[in-house]
Amino acid sequence: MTGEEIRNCFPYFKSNKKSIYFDSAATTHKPQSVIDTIISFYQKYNSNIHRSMNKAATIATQKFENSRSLVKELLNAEHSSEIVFTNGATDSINLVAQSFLKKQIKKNDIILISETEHHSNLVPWQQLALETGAKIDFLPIRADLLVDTDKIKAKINDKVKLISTHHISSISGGKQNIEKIIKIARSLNIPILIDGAQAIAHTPIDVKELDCDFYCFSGHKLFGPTGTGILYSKSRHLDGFIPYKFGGGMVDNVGLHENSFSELPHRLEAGTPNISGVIGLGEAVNFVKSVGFSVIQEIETSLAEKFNHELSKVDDCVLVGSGPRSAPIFTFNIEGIHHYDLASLLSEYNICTRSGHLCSQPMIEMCGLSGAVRASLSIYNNEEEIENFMVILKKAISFLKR
Amino acid sequence: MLLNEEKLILNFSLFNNWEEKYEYLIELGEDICFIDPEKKTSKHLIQGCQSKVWLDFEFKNDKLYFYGDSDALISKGLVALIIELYSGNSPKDILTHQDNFFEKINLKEHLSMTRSNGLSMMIKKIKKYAYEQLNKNG
Repeated sequence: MTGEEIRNCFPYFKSNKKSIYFDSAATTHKPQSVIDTIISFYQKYNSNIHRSMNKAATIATQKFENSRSLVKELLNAEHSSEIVFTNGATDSINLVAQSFLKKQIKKNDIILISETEHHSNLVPWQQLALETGAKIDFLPIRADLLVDTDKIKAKINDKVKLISTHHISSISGGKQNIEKIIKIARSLNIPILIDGAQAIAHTPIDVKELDCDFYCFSGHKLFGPTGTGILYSKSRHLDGFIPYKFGGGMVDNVGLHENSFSELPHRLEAGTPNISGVIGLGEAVNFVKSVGFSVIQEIETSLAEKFNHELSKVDDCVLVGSGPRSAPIFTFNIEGIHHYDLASLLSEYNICTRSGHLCSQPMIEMCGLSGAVRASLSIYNNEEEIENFMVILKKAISFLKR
Repeated sequence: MLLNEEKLILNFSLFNNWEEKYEYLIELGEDICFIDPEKKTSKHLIQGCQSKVWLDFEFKNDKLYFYGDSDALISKGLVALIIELYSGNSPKDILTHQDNFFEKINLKEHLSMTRSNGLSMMIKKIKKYAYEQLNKNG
């Protein structure tokens, strides 16, 4: 597929011809095939899954479980049962915190994360630490805002019960050396969770090769519907997960005073799930497969190079994180201009960016900033949009500086 | 209607596009009734805005007067606008005022009442001050 063919798959751009959408790190647009799949579910076989014995329910259940197989293939997991549907990456991390770690962590034990995590990979651990008396410690960070893998071992002792860090930064677009971080965790027998929220749409994932214990992402950042997410977990951990949401769909036998849980992964998916969303997510995985990561990376590398080159010509622009990028994400400030003012003006010119602390307040503060503007691109963007963006950016700057 | 409301609505009606409205907002910010710099503390900070916005008040002759500042130009213009709108009015008039002013000046489509610009929180804070004064003074 060419860049133009890919863009044509997304109806948003037909409805918003004057808009430049550079906010894909917040959420991606959905291809027509994903939207059609969701509509088709409600129009043709709307029903509840894993319960009702009717034809529509059988189709819905098959499609729902087919999405699990598609995600299993996308991540190259060993079994479909290692794939748990959640409502997003945040939900997935909470699931690991509450169902896996809570039962084994004690007062003064340590959860090792980094100061550069977004709030989803910080707040659930803060909450668990509050509940259990455990502590949070932070992996050392290099100047390029990625974990300093040479200094990890100095942070590790027998109190560390879990390491959790992100794959690709939502601020700098830089990729962590998760291969090395996982290897260190593995050698010390410490479970490790990789937050793939910003990686999933940009790079192929092979959880078998990575050998991480947990990997999570949100469907809406992979051209899928909001309210869908994935937790991959190695089977040996998943077996010991204690459900923290209870109700229908996660039990086999229910008496008035007791019950028995369903098999995995269903016991972790209480209640009627987001059926249309999960089926839509399966279609999003099909879409990504049909484009292929080699094409995705080729397009995104070219867009990132162009954006970087053009942004370097803008006076007084200061980028947050200067290392190589694995995703076309650019967070920056213009000296003398408040990020809120700049983003407000860009919005008036129909440019969608994000500003503020970008759900990574500790990291932004660590950089000595109160906020920044983030432009995040995806495969459906093109060079013309980058050129137009730069013209408008300069116009906005001169408006605010006069 | 509040003291300066009609004048502000008239002023905004003179502008044809958002650029002119923003220019006017920024100019308003330049003449803002500044908050005492010593009061730029967390106590007077409006929580949840993407920019820092401080707001304080004074109660004299049965009327409320507001003072503020912000570290961003547009937010500062917004605080100045709100101060211009509410200052010099009685707590009762402030509390009973209908919040459709931003629709009347056609600014709502630009500066929606989202958490990011803190507009609704500034108004909430002003009404809270008015409520407290009303209760204090019977």
